[in-house]
Parts: sequence; structure tokens; C-alpha cells
Amino acid sequence: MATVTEAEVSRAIKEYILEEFLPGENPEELTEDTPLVTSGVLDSVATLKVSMFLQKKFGIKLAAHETDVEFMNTIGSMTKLVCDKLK
Amino acid sequence: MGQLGLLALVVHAYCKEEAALCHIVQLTLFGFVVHHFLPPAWRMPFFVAMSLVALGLVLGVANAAMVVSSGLVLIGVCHLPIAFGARVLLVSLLGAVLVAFQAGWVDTGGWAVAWPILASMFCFRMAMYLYDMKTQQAPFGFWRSLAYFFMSPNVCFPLFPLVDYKTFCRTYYNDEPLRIYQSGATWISRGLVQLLLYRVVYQFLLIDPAQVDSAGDLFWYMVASFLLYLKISGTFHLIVGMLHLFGFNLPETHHRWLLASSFVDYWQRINIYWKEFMAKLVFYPVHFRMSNWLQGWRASSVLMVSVLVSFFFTWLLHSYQWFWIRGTYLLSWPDALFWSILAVLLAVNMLWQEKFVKRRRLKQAANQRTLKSELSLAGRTVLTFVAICVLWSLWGAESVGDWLAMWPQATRVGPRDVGLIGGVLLAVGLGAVAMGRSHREWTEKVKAPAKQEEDAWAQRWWPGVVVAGSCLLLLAPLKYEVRSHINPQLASVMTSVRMNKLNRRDTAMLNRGYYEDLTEAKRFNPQLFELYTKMPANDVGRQGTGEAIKRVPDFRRKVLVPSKTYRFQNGVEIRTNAHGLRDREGYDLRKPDGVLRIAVVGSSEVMGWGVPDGETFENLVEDRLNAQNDGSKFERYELINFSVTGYGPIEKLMMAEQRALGFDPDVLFYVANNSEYQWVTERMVEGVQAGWKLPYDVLDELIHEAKVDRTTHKVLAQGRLKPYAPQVLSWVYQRVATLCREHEVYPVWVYVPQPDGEPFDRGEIRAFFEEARKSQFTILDLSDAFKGMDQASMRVSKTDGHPNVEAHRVLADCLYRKIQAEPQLSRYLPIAPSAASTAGREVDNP
Repeated sequence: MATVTEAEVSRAIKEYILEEFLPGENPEELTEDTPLVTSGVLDSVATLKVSMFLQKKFGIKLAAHETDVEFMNTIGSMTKLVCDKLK
Repeated sequence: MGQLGLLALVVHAYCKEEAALCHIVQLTLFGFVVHHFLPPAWRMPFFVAMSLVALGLVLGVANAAMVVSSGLVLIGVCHLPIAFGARVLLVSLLGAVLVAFQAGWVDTGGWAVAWPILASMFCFRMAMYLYDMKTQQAPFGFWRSLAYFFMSPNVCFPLFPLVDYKTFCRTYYNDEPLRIYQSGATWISRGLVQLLLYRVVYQFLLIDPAQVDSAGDLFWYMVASFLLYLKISGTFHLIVGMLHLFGFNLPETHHRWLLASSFVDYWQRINIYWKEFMAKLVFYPVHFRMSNWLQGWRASSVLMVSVLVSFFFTWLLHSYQWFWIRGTYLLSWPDALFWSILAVLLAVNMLWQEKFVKRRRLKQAANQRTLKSELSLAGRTVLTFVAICVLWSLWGAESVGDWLAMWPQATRVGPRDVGLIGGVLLAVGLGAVAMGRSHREWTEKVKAPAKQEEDAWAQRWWPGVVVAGSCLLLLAPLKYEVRSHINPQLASVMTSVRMNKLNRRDTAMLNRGYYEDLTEAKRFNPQLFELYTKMPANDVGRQGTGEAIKRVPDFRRKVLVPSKTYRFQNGVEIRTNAHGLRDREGYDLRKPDGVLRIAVVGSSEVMGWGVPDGETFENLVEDRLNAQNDGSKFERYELINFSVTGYGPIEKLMMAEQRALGFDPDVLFYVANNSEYQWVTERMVEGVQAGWKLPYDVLDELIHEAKVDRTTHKVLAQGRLKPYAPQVLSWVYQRVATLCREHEVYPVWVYVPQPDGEPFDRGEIRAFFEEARKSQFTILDLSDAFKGMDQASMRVSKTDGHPNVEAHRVLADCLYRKIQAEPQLSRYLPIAPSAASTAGREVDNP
């Protein structure tokens, strides 16, 4: 996979979340730090879907424990997880 | 501090009977004050020290030392410098040893009390600890590990929330301390309110399956079954609230679980820690593995398989938890069906939501609420509520057959049923609109400083006002209990709620040996569960040993065997005489001249369940009559005890007819208790179902009239026979009285109460008196025998409401006085009433 920047990872995740879980939502409301799991936007199934998307989109392999709230609660934490895997 | 002081008062007022809980609450409040003023580095070790003291206070030093040393070994093994797999293997081997202890395969004597508490601390937490150790997702340290495993409230609550290790570490003082403490006080008060509501449901709202007589009854049975969960929800709030006081800012354990609007929503609101444990250790790993194994499958199919596998493990792990706390396995059809149906409903609901519902919002704006959306929410919540109530009632049923047997009654619908069902559903719908949308409280989320200032009032002061207000509201009604003359009915309700005892059905069943050993109680009943977990190994409530009580395959079920003993677990031994009666030797079948003989027929409370020989009230009255005998009327007085444990009215009649009258008594005491109707119905059903011949033709006719036969399900049969109970009891009383007159025996009907302030149906008891009057018995009412006394201390044990030695003395004194006050009986007495009266109280027959 071609090298991707942190900003690209973040943008891809944001687009996916907006399209899949928050259709019609104002994109500006969804920031890097918006809580997704603790606010109830992502439940356990949605979190799994996001993790499947990350694996497929960025060609990385996630472990089950990486679906935990500290990795999946915000777009920022997801981006960090993906970028760490891509290093 | 003011809030905590009020909370302590509430605990003291309502949980005085639960000494361990009171100790832990007092320790927690004292510990909280000290803890708060300690330097931060000392707080965790202080919490550990306090938890160890709590263990010692509740379990005793020796058992606490066993729990701590075993726990240290288990934690130590996790940190051995060997391969992770080898550590897991070693922990599993140690677990196997503990299984042997807990199952009783290895006799550990006095240590047996320690295993359920140790298991409660380690059986799930160890899995989470090892998981986080393997994934290196949390910090590990000596004090942190001890704090995690030996949390102080655990010693009082074996059924403990599954606190995640990583969350436990991550949330420790992750917010301003005062805000964490305030959350703790709020959750403790919420927990207490829920626990008291649970007591109300358990004592007054729960109905017996046999009482289900219409659609409204069935609906109410199901709703009450579901509401029993308040016990778990309240306990978990209380526990997590207490942990907040020591800086553990854990998230909410339950969130408005009555207002779930779908099965997925229900699963996310109820026992949230369990759900997260399952997601972390089972659902996610299973799904990741399934995704690799089933690569050609559609995502929805993989999801479905993962959910079903996870629920299979949920079922197994509930049984695993049950085993560690109770030492027995919980594998029943209702249990299996409950989890299977819930799994399928949840999986289908998940798929449906993923496919058709995409309503997630970053903010729940007020202007997005329309009439249509509110009606939809209310409708979904009502449907989910009904479905969960139905499922929950299945889970709580003794058997699937019991549960199914109630359904035919649902065809009977009257205005009361429509009103009841409509009212409850309307309340649920309105509740959903008002509060159903709120999100779970994640206290681990720290708010931005600007927001904190804005919310100063809402965040800091308002919760305090709510806690203080709740406490005052809970304390206020207690004045009615003290001033019972103001409102006797409310005073009685308050006593029942405050005493946290078994409800009518469980008390009656326990007392007549239905749960002869609580390990055999199959019903999922939080009250029995608690009773069992707190019951000492030597409690009277546990099944004793001996040959004195023998089961027989006829209507009587049990008989006493001559010259044998029965030993209770507390060491008390009872002996039968040569006639097979629980009484002294020395009574000849033929009554000697100059003797006044009184035959006493009753059940366990008269037989003297759990009371040593010679200490029953029947023996004490006999001794007193003979001690005060001046020989002017009779040479000697004999009271012969024909009572047998578990005997209801029909068996008492049989005993009177077949045995007591054969001893040529002058007087017969028929001793009634508060369950006369219930015993009639249950015994007839048991007899018919066992295929035993009913002892009297009239009973056969009634059975036939009620359309009950051997194939009729127990619950249905009880429901059909219940209306006939007054008729049967009336017939029994008339027959006893008639037989007495035919044998020139003076018939006396004695009412004996139980020493536990039971809120039983007083109307029913009045009906017993009325029947006795109609049958022309002389009535001796002992119902005020325990009035004004500490009734809780007059039971043979906390788990068993039979009168103890002291209570038998009180009953004897009361009976003697009532005999003196009854002109028809006092003529038999050795001395005049006024000279013999010791207590000097007025006799007060209804």
C-alpha cells in the first residue's frame, strides 16, 4: 500500500464514520476529539465494523483488544492506532 | 460528609439486620474521611488495608487470612517469570483445586466459608487481569493488584460487578476528587432506593404462579419477575458508589434498564460490566477469529455466529458464577431457553438495526423530537418491556411446564386486567419519552474546564440536594413504624420493608420443608440466593441427619419413627418416643385414672423444629400445669404432642383421627398457623400428582369438580384448587370438632403466630378464626404472643422462622394465660386464674 499521511488516515476514517453511522450529520461537528464510544455513537457492533474497515482500508491487522474504547473512542485515537501499525 | 452521614442513617435504619453490611458501610465512611486527607501516594495502600480489615470483620481473622493468602498465591502465580501460557496453566490448576474445595469433594471444614468469597473475588477478575497482562494494556503494581482483587464491598456482596482491570486503573482519580466522591454518594443513594424498591416488590407485589387467575395476574407476575432485578441493579450501584469514595471513578453499571427501546438497547443498559466483559473476552476475539475462518461468509452471518457463540458462553459463565457462589450447578431448561431466545432476538435486532436503522446522532437536539418520533420511541419501549418481562418470567420459573401452565389463564380478561395492563404500559411509554433517551453516564469522561464552570450548580450542588432529599424521604416514613397507632397498616409495611425477610410464599415453603436444603431450591430467587450465601454451615435451615423423620409414599409424606433421633446442623438433636411422637416417654395408650390428657396436633412449630427436647411450648405448659397442681382436680396433666413437620390441615385431621383420639384425650388442641389455605391446596395437588389416594372421599369429589387430575400441571392444579381451599378447611375443622364430640373430647382451636412480624393476609387469618368459630371450637388466640418483643431474635435462625427456645417459652406463657382466661378450660386447671397469672396481661380474643 502506498504511504499515507496521518491527515489522510484521519479524513478516511471521518468519511467512513459520517457515511456509515452519522448520515446527514454536519461534518464540522465531528472533530478529531469527538467521543464516539462513550457518547453512544459507536456500540460494540459498530466498533467492530470500524475495526474491519480499518483493517481492509489500510491493510493492517488489528488484535481483538484494539477495539477497546481507548483506541476507538475518537477519530484521533483511531488515526494514531492506524499510523502506529503502518510504521 | 453530610450526605454520607444521611446515607449511613438510611443503611442503619433499613439494613440493621445485616450486620456485615452495616460494618462495611461504617468502615467505608470512616475510611473515606481518613483516605481523603492522606497524601495521594498513601491512598491505594490505605484502601487495601481497609479492605483486609473488612474481610477480617466479616469472615473472622482465620477465614480472612485464608482468603488473603490464597489470593496472594493466585496473584503471585500471574507474575512468575515463566511463559504466559505456563502461568495460565498454573492458575487453572489452582482453580481446579478450589473447585474441589467449593464442590465439597475435599472437606475443608471451617474454611468452607472462605471459598465463595475468594471465588467471587477471583473467578472473573483473574481472567480480566490475565487478559490485560497478556495484551499489556494496563499498569501493574503490588498495591494496585491487591486493591483490584480485594475490593472492600466484595466481602458483603458475593455477586459483584465484573470490574474491568484496565478501567479500574484508568479511572483512578481521573477527575476532580470531589466530583468523584459526589458521584459515589449519588450512586449509593440510587442503589439504596433500588434495594428498598426491590423489597417492596418482593414482599408485596410478587405473586405466586398458582395465584395467576387472569390476563392481568399473568402480566403482573411477569412484570414483578422482571422488577426483582432491582436487587442486582441496586447492589451494583451501591458497590460502585462505595468504590467512588476511594477514587475509583468507575462507569455506571446499569442505565435505566426498564426503558430499553430494543433488545440491543436492553443489552447495553442492563449489567453493563457483564456486557463489556463478554465483548472484551469473548465477542471481539470470537468475531476476529470467525472473520478469518469464515472468509467467504457475509459480514452479517459472521456477526450472527459471533453473537450466538458469545451467548453460549454467557450461559456457561452464569452457571460458572453460580457454582462458585453456591457450590452447585445451574443447568436448567428455563435458563438455557432464556439465553437462547435472548441471543436470537439480540442477533436479529442487531442485523435489523444495522440494515434499516441509522439514527445515530452526535447531539440529541430537542427540536428533533416530533410527535411521531416520541410515539415510536414509546411504542418500541413498551414492546421491548413486554418481551423482556415475558422472557424474564421464563428465566425465573421453576420449570418450563410451570411457566406454560400459567398461560391458559390469560384468556380471562376483565376491566381490572385491562386497567392494570394499560396503566403499566402507559407508565412505561411515558417514562420512555421522559427519560428513555438519556445516554449512559460515563463518569470516566472528564469534561472540559469551561463546561465545568458552566455546570457548577448542576454538577456539584444539585446531586447533593438529590442525595440528601432521597435520604430524608426514606427516613421520614419510619416515624409511622415507631408511632404504629397513627397508621398500623403503614407501620406494618415499613416493618416488612425494613426487615428484609422472606416473603410469604418463600417463608411458608421454607418452613414446611419445601427447600429442605437450599441447595435444592431451583428457582432463581435473589432472596433465597442471599439467604443461602449468608447461611452458616451449621445453620438449622440446612438439612439435618437422622432416622426420626421418614418419608412415606402416601398423603402424609412424612411420619415420625419411634425411638429415633434427628440431628440439626447446629447440633440440636430431637428424639421421638416409643409411640413415634416428638415428645417424652411415659404416656400410656390407655389413659390412667386421675389424669387430664390434652392431645396437641400441629405442624413443625408445635413439634419444636430446631428446639431441644423438653423445650417445646407444649412440654413447658405441661410442666407448669403439673408444677402448680394442687391435686384438687387431677393427679396429673398430660399434653401429648402429635405434631409432625410439614403437616397441613388435612394431615392434622388424619393425625387426630387415626392416632390422637386413640389415646383417649379429654381435650384436643388443633393448632393452626398462617398458611392453612396454602397447605390445603398444595398438599392436595402433591397427593394427586404423586398418584396417592386422597384420605377422604370428599376431597376426591372436590378434585373431580375442580377438573384436576394427575396429568394437570402443578401450577394449573393449584390455581384450580385454590378457590376450594376455604371449603376444604371448613370441612376439616367441622370433622375435627365432630370427631371430638363423638369421642367426648373438648375441641380447642389454637392460633400460633410466627415470630417474624410477617405481613401475611390478615383477612385470610380472620377467615380461619371464623371457620373455627363456626365449627364450635373454643378458640385460643396467641397472635399477640410476641407483641412488642424483638421478634427477629426469636427465630431458630435468620434463615428459619420457626420459634426458638425463647419463643417457645413466650408461647407457653401466652398459652397458659389464655387457657386460664377461657372459662370452659380453666375449670380443668389446678388453681384459680387470678392466683396463677404471672404476667398479668389481659386476654384479648378477637
